[in-house]
Amino acid sequence: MSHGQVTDLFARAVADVPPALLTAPHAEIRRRIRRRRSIRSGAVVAAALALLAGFAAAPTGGAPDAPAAPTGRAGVPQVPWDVARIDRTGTRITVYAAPLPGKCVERDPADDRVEWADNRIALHLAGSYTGCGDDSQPVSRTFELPQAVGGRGIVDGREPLEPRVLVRAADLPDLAAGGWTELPAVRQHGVLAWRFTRSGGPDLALRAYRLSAGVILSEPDHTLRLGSRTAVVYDRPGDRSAGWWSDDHQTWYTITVADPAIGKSGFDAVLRDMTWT
Amino acid sequence: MDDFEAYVSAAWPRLLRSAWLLTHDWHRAEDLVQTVLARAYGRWPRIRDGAPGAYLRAMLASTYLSWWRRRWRGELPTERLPEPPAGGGGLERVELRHLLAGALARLPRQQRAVLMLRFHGDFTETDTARALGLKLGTVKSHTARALAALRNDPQLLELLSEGVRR
Repeated sequence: MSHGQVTDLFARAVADVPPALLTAPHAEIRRRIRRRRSIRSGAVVAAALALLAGFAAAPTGGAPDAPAAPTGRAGVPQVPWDVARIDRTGTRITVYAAPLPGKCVERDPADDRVEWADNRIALHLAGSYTGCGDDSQPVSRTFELPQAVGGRGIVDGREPLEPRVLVRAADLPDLAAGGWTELPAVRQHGVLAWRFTRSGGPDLALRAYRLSAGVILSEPDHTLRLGSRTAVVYDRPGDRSAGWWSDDHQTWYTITVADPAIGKSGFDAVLRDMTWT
Repeated sequence: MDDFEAYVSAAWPRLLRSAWLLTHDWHRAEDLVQTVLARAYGRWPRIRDGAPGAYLRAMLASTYLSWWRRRWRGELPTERLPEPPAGGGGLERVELRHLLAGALARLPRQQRAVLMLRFHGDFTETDTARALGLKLGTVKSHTARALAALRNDPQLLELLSEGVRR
């Protein structure tokens, strides 16, 4: 692969910047500059005060104490979250702490926080990992927002550049309308599964994945048109599932029915009967 | 500030594209560029008289690497995925971007940063080494390994051949 080919490949791949991002966000950049200046000046003042206090308190000839570290919310330990689920109104977001094998999350909800910006919302989950016997129970926090998320990105305040799984109710069928009741979510092999049940069945499990694009896996049995979406259906006896992309093509959803009594056509009928957007 | 903002207006799309090659996500790319510009503002009087584009691109790479020290990516494994849309004719740019994003995501981050600087920022190997604080030999080996990985990606190869036919 020559230098020119790689250069051409890169240029072609990034040629189309989304129109909303084409103009430089001067106001946001100015805000960040001001914030940066205030943090730096605050640190200088804190260091100067610590130095003055050191001079006042230190015995003559003694070694000065190191300046105290700036205090504040930055010192609150946080755990990463790996999945955020956004409801249909866009005002309730449930984030799930990332699992760590053999560890549980000890939460400190009072220090959770939400940071708003023009283009994104950063959600901070306060807590830390501790040893425990059962690491399979998901730990979550639901944030109630004063306004809908809209087109803003949702990021983990602890690691704003790390991609996360975003589950938007708008991408999903309205299972409550079909009579399903949601059960507590579970982690299976690290992957969250939201479980749904209804009288007369079948029970369902919904999962979401953030995928590296371009991955090729098994051929589906067939496709189904469900509302405005096209789902692919995998037909494995006792493990029938359907999958579809989110609107932004970042998340891949699957819905699985584990009832062996449901045949291929029965599963298709269940999917078609759901309320899809 | 006027001088800085005028430069930002003009350079923004290209910086955003460079950042996408690191983050493979437009919103995170925007976040990265904004962070770098906020940091660069205080140094602007010195930066503007040199090569601001190269300086900012080097900052993009180093900031990206400092923010991405943790290896965990928040992405989850999965068993069953759909076939991507059949190739057939020419692949659209969106698909190209998705394929490239996948190929870049599979590279170690330093290799990704080296590729961005070398092939989108037009950095020499020496300048890349200086920007990332690496030895020249490390930059050469990162480049060779990253290119080998891209070369072994059959879908990217298909795209490259289409590029030649264009």
